[in-house]
Amino acid sequence: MKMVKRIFIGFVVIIIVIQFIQPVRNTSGQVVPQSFIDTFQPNDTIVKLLANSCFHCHSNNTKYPWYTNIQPVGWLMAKHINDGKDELNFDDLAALSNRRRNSKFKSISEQIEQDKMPLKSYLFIHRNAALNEADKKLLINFFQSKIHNN
Amino acid sequence: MKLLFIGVAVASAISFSACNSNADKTTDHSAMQHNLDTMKDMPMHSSTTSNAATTSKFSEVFSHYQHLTFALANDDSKEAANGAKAMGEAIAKVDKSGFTADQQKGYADLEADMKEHTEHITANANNIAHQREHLETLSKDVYDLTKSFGAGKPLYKIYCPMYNDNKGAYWLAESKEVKNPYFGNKMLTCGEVQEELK
Ligand code: HEC
Ligand SMILES: [Cu+2]
Repeated sequence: MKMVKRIFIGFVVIIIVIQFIQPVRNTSGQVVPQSFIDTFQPNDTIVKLLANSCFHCHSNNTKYPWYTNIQPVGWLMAKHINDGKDELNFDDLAALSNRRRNSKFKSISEQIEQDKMPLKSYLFIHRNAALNEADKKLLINFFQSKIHNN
Repeated sequence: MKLLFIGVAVASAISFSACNSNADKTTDHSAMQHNLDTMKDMPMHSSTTSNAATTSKFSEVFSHYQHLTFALANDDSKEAANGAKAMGEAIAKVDKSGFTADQQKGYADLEADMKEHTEHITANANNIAHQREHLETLSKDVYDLTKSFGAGKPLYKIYCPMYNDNKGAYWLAESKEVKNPYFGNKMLTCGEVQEELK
């Protein structure tokens, strides 16, 4: 029984200690990716949907809910943002060539269509980021309309 | 204190379960690496390099692209990942000496796009549908590459109107024989030659 108690205390200590290791935050000070909005002219509804479901992981600015202060939740979030921004960063899209934009827009449409994005593990804790069928259609139509083959 | 502990425990349980999607990826990766090692001395490799006698700077890129399309036509996603990896390496090694400034710019753009698609195909050895989505865009890149730089040998643009809910897609092949990489066994012969490239 003593052993169990020790393991328990050890575990608590570890959990407390890791709370002090906070990952660097992904914040640019700017709330929405302005260059994306200026260049591609999404309407307010689309901006709202993207802000709610995608920008957290795919832009230079993340809105952090309180529980991301609890580790390892915050670490996991940081990893998703890193990986997500590698794949797609709405703050960078305007600077891409036509070919690269087309690739990104095609991929975005497919990910939304197949319910692969937002990530399932994210929806688990951020229920309100889920997209309904109407939202999905709106977003897909928008991105499809931005694909220009020369 | 007890409450705090429970809270923290629940939070970590949530985040560990959330970690699953990433964990899958890493295991796939090592399995693929292993597969690749065993592939090294297979005859397929030597046959692809024999085409290198052609004058095009891109013959390696084309032959690995072909390797990729054949693998997908065979519904072999592991082999497709190998082909895409080799293609990505060939793309990075292309000799850019003698390119004009315009060609350099054009190639840099194609290279960035092809790099992304080959990387995704390589990383998705467990997801053939996703590999095929990237093949569609990659094929457009290879087509544009051929248009701007020449193929060095005849290439056929083959179009199948059925892919992706009848939106259609094309691929490129050295022979007119139709082996559809988007459908594989399901509809191997969907496609017709649309254009001959030189
Ligand atoms: C919790 C963070 C998170 C959210 C929210 C999120 N993504 Fe992602 N996204 C990622 C990560 C991580 C990757 C790379 C790994 C992967 O594909 O699983 C990714 C990859 C992608 C890719 C590349 C897919 C591929 O393999 O071709 C696209 C496109 C994408 N996301 C679009 C979106 C869109 C659109 C939304 C909103 C509807 C969104 N994401 C919401 C984290 C996120
Ligand atoms: Cu992908």
